Amino acid sequence: MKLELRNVSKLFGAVRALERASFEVEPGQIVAVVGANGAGKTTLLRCLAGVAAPDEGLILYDDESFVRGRLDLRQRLAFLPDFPFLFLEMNPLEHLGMVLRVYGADGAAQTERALGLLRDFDLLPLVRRPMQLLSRGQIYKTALVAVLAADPELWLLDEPFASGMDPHGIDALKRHAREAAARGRTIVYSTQILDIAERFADRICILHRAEVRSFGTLAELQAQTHDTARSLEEIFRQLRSETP
Amino acid sequence: MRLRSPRFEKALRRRVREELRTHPELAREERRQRRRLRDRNLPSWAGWAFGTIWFFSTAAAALAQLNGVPLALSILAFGALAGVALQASLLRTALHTADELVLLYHLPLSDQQILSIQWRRHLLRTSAAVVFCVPIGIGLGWKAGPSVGLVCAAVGLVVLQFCLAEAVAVILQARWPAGPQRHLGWFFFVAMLLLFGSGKLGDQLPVIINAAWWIPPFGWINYVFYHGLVLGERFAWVLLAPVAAIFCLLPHAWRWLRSEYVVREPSPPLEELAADGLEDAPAARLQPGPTEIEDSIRAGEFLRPLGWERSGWIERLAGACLTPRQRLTAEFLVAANPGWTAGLKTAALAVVIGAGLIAALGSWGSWVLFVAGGLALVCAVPVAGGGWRGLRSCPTGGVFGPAYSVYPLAYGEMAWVILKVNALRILAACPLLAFLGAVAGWRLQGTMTVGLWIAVKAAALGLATQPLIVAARFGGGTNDTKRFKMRWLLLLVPLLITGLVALLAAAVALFLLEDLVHAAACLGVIALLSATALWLHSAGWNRSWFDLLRRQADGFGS
Repeated sequence: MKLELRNVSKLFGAVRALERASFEVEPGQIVAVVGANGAGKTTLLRCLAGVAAPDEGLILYDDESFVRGRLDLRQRLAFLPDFPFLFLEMNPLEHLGMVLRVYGADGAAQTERALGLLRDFDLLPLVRRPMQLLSRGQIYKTALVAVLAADPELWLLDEPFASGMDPHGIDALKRHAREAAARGRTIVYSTQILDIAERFADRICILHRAEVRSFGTLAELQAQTHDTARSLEEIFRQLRSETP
Repeated sequence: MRLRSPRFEKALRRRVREELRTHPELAREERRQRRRLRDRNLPSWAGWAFGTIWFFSTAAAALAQLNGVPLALSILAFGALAGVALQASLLRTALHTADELVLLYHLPLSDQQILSIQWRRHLLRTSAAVVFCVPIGIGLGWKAGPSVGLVCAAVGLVVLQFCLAEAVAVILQARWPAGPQRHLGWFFFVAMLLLFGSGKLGDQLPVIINAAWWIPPFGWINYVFYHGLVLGERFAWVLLAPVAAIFCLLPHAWRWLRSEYVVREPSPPLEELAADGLEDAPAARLQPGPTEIEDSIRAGEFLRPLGWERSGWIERLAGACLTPRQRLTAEFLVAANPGWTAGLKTAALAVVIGAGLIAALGSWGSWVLFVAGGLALVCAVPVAGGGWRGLRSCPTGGVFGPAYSVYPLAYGEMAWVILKVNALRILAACPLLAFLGAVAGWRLQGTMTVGLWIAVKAAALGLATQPLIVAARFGGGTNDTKRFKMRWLLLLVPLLITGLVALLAAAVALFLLEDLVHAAACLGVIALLSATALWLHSAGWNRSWFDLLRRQADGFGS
């Protein structure tokens, strides 16, 4: 799914959370959104998911304008907040079944895929346990497995690497995300961990004080700094020092 | 199809006797077991005997104190209505949830054969009640005119009513399998018992008697009996034609029932497994091994929708009223655990206790009305839109968002599901409200009609305001009231104030006005304003006019 933002701004009262954000993401790309606390990463993802409503600008999916009422477009994307919205009274299997049915992805192929995902994320022994008895990482994994099994065209993941998942889960997420991108799925995730963003993204979006300061591949970002900064960490540090 | 083989059973019994003779230890054990079985059967036999005696005594006492034949016939009509609902409920139990289905399911029988077996069992069990018809008929015929002909006709009438009740029960079960038959049955049964104490009804009695003539088809037969046979009005016999038509419908209903009937795999209760020596059965079930889990996932069991038809009767009814997509939306919104019938049961308990207290305390018991009514409203009626877990706010990054916001569900479909289910729940709770209102009116105001009228108006108001309540519920999870710019506020605030004042005025007028036309007009105004509010909110939601986020006291996060 092609994604395009045109001058998207978002205000919360007097606070400007996003300022004229514009960029394009082609299908099959993995985009890491990085930025300091309060830079507008989560707001950007919420706007893309239709949870928050932009005050100005346009969000286009496959060149079609996106608003919350476009259920057809919403069925092609999935948004996973840092604290997933799920019913803790249910068990992981019930949650998985419900999400797949809501996405209309309840075919025979999905069952085998769901089984593989549950196995990959070490959730198989826990599938019948109420989610209120699971740890934060296990709950996040449950919600993630549901998104991965539904396999929408656009994944919007908020801080997946700071979600309490164990290293094995993080590794599984990276592997599945790469496979999905190879199948043409678009993945946009936010993170504070620059090492991960550097190695696990085709494009990097640097948000600073509600503005998109840079968007592109690591090489493009390096070129913007006239090759004075080599790593993403250095680029980020330079950006901060430039801004008063 | 016959499941029993007398010859085989005889041979088997002979073989068992021989075994018992040769093994004294076995014989002792057999005697012990037989004694235990006898002991276990005694209470149910005693209960049946007690029930029979109680029923005969009540019927006899009631007939003895009746004012006249029309009242007896109206009681009979209500009794027949109760009979229909109870028969339909028993038929459903026999066909879908009876214990013997566990056994039949595992035998090499087709669904149609199981249907025939269960139908015969049901008939055998229920037809025993025909014996009650004879004394009731004799009493009725004797009261109508002490002649042998009339007594025979009255017995025939009661037996016909019984057969007709069975026929209508089959039609009801065939065409409305998910209906609240058992509850309706008890409702009519209580109505019948209330008519026994008809001295309290005063002026309302002739109205009820006249209304009872038109309870189809039982009132029609009564009308034929009383007006045609006792009073000699020839025209009354015409009413036998639609009754005959109902009997003609019976084969079609039976064919329908047959074609739709499917036996589902029964699962024995955990207590039974435990009783069978599998004490760790519940634990074993809760923690299946990895292979079992994988098999169940491969079989797609986790993708199966909620078994609406195996839940409570309101859930069954809701399941029947919703489309597959709406059922999925409803399942999401209630997190696969509706609990509507359970709420109604709690409300029924509160109402019965409350009504009893009001009846006992009289004017001193007015406070009970508010307690019982309030409890019933909270449990059974979606006063604040109902307990929809999907609308619940979840914390996320310093703010709260409704649970549904991250799933691809449309406002329209969610609102429509909530409206449908809430309307159903309000209608289901109507008899309770009416009952409480009637009792309160009778004890506190001296007449039942006042209480009944207020209860009906309250239920109608609840229905008419549902769209507004649903919009408010959706609004609770959003920042819709904080997103308007000044020019919009200047336009909308006067409109909102006007709408709110009109709504309140109509609601107050509804309770002040006594005539039906004006009350209906008020309801129309309320429904229109309420629907407009929902439509406006839906438009705002769909066009992303506001966020699906609610501000926390300490402000927004990133």
